[in-house]
Amino acid sequence: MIRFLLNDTSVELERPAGELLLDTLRGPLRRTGVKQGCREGDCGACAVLIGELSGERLSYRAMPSCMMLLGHVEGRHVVTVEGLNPPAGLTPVQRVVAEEGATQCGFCTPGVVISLTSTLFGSTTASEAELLESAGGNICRCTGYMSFRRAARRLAADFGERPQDPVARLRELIQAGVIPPHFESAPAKLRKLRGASEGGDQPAGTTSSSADYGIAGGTDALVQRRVATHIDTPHFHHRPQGIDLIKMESGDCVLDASTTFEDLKRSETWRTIDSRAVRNMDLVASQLIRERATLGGNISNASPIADGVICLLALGTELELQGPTGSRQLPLAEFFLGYKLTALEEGEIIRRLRIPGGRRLRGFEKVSRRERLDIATVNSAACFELSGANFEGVTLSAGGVGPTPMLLKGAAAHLEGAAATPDRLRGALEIAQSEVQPISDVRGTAEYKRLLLRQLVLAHFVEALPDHGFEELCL
Amino acid sequence: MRADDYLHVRGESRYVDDLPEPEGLLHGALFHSPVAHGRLLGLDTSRALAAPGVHGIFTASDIPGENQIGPIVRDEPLLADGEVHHVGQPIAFVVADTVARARAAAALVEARIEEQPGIFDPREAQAAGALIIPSRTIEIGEVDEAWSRCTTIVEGRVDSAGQEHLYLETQASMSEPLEGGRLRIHAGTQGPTAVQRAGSGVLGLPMSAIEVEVQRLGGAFGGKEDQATPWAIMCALATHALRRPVKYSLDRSEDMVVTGKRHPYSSDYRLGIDAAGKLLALEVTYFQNAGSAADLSPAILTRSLFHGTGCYHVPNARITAHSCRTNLTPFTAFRGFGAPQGIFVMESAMAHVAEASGMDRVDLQERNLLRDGDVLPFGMSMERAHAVRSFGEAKQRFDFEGARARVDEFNATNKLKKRGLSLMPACFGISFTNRILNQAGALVHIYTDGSVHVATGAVEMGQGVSEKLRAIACGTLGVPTELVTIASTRTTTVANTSATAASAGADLNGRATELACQELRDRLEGLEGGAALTWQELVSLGYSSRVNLSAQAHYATPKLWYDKELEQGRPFAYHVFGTALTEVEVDCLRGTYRIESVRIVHDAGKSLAPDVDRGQVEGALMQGIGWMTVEELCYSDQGQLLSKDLASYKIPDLNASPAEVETHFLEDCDNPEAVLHSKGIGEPPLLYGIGTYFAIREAARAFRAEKQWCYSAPLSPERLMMFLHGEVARVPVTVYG
Repeated sequence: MIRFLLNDTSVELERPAGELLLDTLRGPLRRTGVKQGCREGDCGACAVLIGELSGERLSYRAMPSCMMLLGHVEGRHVVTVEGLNPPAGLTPVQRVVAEEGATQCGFCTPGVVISLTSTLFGSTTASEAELLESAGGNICRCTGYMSFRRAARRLAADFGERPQDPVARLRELIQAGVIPPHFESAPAKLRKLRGASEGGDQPAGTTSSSADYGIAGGTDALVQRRVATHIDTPHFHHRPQGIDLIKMESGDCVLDASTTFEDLKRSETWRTIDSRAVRNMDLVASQLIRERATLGGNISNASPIADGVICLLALGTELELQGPTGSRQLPLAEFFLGYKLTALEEGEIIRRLRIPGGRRLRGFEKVSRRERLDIATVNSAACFELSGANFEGVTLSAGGVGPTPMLLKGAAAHLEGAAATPDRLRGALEIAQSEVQPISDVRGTAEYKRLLLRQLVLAHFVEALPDHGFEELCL
Repeated sequence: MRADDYLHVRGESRYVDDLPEPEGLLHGALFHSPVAHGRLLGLDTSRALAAPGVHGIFTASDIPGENQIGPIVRDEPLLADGEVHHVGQPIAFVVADTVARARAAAALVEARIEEQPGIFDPREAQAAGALIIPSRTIEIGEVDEAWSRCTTIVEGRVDSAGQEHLYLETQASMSEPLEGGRLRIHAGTQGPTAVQRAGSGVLGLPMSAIEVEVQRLGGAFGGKEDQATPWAIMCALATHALRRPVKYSLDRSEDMVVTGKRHPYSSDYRLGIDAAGKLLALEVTYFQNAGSAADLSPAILTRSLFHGTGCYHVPNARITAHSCRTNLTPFTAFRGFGAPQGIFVMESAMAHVAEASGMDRVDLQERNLLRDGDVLPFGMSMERAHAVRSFGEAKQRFDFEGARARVDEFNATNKLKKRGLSLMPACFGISFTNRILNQAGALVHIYTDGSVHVATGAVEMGQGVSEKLRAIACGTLGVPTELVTIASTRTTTVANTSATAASAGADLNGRATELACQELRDRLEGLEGGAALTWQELVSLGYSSRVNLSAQAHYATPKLWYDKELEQGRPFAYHVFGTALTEVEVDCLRGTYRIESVRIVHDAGKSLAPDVDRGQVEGALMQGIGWMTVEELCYSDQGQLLSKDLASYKIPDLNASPAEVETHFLEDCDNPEAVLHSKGIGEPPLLYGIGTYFAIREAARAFRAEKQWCYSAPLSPERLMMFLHGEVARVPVTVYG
């Protein structure tokens, strides 16, 4: 039995927990305002608001329903566009979208309305940039997006300053008609649901049998099984409640494996590791996906171009793995054994990540065919400091240039302790070429990827140390 | 706000897959060819037929009528028979009680195929004599003689890749049985009549036994003009046999594999100018990659020929076009319909000849723009040409000289970032090039309460044609907007319609609507004492006076003719003009680009709905930019589409859109050739996207002035990087003179 709150109604369904939320919503629940555009998280047409109870209050985020299973929404509030509709007329977001011409064929539109509405919920500023970022994962083939920009500008002007207190913010949104009054009673309804559910969530960290399909955010797992209508025996790795997912522990930064990319983007703690976290995280997927995608999933999926992994590799991350018989530590650099092959043993999962104290990300570079919401052709991250005129603590990582995400150890060693000069860097760039073996595929030719690797490693230094003349290596 | 927008933002607009499911609905799934070319030796459907929930499997041998759906050339079976000619060619249609079971069963169909070598390159196909139709040449002046008078002659090769439509709503259809062996199809098509006609042939039923209805499409862009037909007919085939409703909604990746796209072109050009910078002679040859069947390729080839000289006057020109048969999914209509490919060749040749002669490219463009009285290579004389006006106004209004100075300054002070500018003039002929298709009908009812119902052959797919029809009906009848309802498109109310395409949907159906409304207005106003009455009173008087409150009207565009033997005529009612100024910034370190702004002067005539037209300009521009930049179809050497999902085929997203797009409609433009002096809007602005290619090229050349350019699109980050930092260009370009 799956129980959740759908719009203003509690639903109890005798359906498998591994059924795709999108299919349940459009099928038996007949909420056809949720559109199916791609079934791979790449268009945003199926976006819904997911409200999660933490303590007394609900927080809402827009997420793609094609990247979620029914088990993901157990005990949560699922809001489709039908759940925003006033009995007659339009919400302010709907009105602005319509009046600015941000809808033509209408197919992507409900998703756009959901994304923009989520920003009015979540943000105290609801700036134009935030609104645009929230709709960044909504692909539209008709409008050319200028009308999205006009709509965001108007909404930012209308809803610019919001109350800090989330409860006051919710009241204000209801008063302004952005959301209907049923949202006010949602926490009570959810608590009642929770009380009714036998067992509830599986406790975090329980181990699964080998036949089960382990799934966290689902943004990789469900893409790989895109056409399937359900997953037979899912084992959900839910986010632990009531703890800080990202925290400092005796100088180290410790992250729970269920930390999402959007958690990283929002975290002040993380900003001490990566001062450009907002810019860097915006290069990863879309906000819709970042709300789902976890670091643990990013690592265990073992994609050679995983953006998160590339950053974590350069940062010298240690993994805490938990198996049926206990836990162990393993450097991330030793986790990848081959293409999509990892050191995880049967029944073992990634629990936590530890970044040694003092490590700072100095650069994250990624080039893909499209800048946003795309898989890297090549990506790279770097850590280094200057001690006087010399480099120290140099690590370089790269993705898309071999079967696994990798460290460019030779190139880093060439720089370690050496003078920060263009000549020295030129040598490192040449060594890097000998360390990689890219292949030609749909993301680019091997020749291009080699060139990109050179340029992106160079870019770390050009950006971080603009006065060292490194740009001459590009001319 | 358009009437439909209210439903869109509330998620209440219904698309085929959202319709309430009729009782007993079955679901279809496709088994298609896994190989690009081969002999189909045998088909075993026994395992699939025995799978749970399966109600039927349909192959070529189950077709009661003719196994043929080719719209122009009869060369395309609905289901493969004896041979397969491309990956994704439909072989069997499986029908089961759920989508999952239908798909599972389709995977159990086994085909024995003897593979044969495939041809994927249009030049290879042409050399092997594999043509869809005999090649065509249009010619004006004395080309061979003119070369000797040229002071600079350039020649080279241009390639442009295909483009996936990526309508957000995938192809979908649902058919249901009616009494007496008749049936109804809810089709996601731009051409309801095309579905009805093809269904009639395949099922062996009269057209009157098949009703086709279209409520709306979730985007189409030409991709549902002809290629919505097979899925609708497969559903109908199953419904006809099983007497059960059948729905088939394509999965995204399946849709990308089995449906056609914009045609890739490979072209050769030779262009010569005189010392004064006047274009003197042009010779162009297009190798159109048509795919394995004709589909609409011959018509698309015609439009390439008619736009081969772009926005320019060339007194001596010879343009040849080959429609080449290859083993890829038949390429099809896509916004622009062959014109963008031809115009990209012309702009490339212009850039090349400007640089070879040392002339300023913008000067060269401006000097040669089309003017009234200039004759196009197919004999049509230009009337009301606004090329010079829009180019000049774009330069002035958007301060082109100032922008150029700013960009030069930027480039002088930045080493790793470079900016580029381009001016892109557009000229696009409006009308179906096949004269027959330029006709439309409308049926207008006035009900006794004064409300009005308008039905035409136009399909609403987001382009706002309903809004324009409503404006025409309201204006002609003199009634407020809320009284007018635009009906869904049905073959039972308006028959024998042309597809909603060619930017002519509002022109044709709008004029028919206007005629029907005028007729009604005349009937009512002719009543004694009618003049002083309100609308409601007038309608009541009409009814009590036993006046016919319904009117049907038909419109056929006048003055169109074309002689295919002579390759001469007047195929277009008029041309649309405009100019775009594009500014981009290239990151020469990473080989990426951002589009800073696109500023457009566009000739929309007297717009019926300026907001709708602005949306069309912005949307078409972005599709043109996508075609020229990030959208790239990638195939294996066996003809398998590799970029077959949204993870590998990227269309522009919000972040990739220009920070600023400004659209200024040219003022005081009348157009007696279309309804209420309006102009077709759907396709012409796509041409502005070509400007982005040349702006990026300008920026890249500011970084690498000495390097040879290869005129190849899309200008993906990879192609740009290879130009900036890689080895030499891959396709040779030759310069004479």
